[in-house]
Amino acid sequence: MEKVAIDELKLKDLQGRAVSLQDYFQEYLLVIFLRHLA
Amino acid sequence: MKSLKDEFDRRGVAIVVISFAEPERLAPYQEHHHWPFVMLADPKRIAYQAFALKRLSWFRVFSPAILRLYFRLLLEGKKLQSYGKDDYYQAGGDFLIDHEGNILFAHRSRDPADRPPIEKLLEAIDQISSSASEEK
Repeated sequence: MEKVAIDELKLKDLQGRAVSLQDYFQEYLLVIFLRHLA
Repeated sequence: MKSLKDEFDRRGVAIVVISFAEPERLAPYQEHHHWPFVMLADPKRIAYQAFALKRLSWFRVFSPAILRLYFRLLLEGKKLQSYGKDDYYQAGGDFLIDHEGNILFAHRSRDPADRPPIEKLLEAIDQISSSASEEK
């Protein structure tokens, strides 16, 4: 099974603050990557 | 869109949408669309790389089928919104993960229109939940 080190992903919220995907979980997390904004 | 979110909530699945756009470009986008999902920015594309999302080839992005799709959308009155510079070659994708970062479901887009149907996502989630319950 593929695994990702989610704590190492340097993501930002809309205010530019550093956040972790761990902050958004319920039991699971569906992560949708956009291609571009349209 | 709200009822769709409820379907995922009911299954214990939160949704996060990630873009490689800078946060200052994402804020007006979210304000315009009012998606009931969390939007996050990955301007350095660290997460895109971690999930092995590559850049699409020119042929994939501008294939006859994709051009037909865009033409149909324009005929239906869909307008192109400009949120600044875009990268049309970056692949997108959909992933279901658990707290440990295990990827339980993965769909890496092969072209701009290649996204899994919602029904397929919900079906996959139901199967994963069912398997997890049996293991407990």
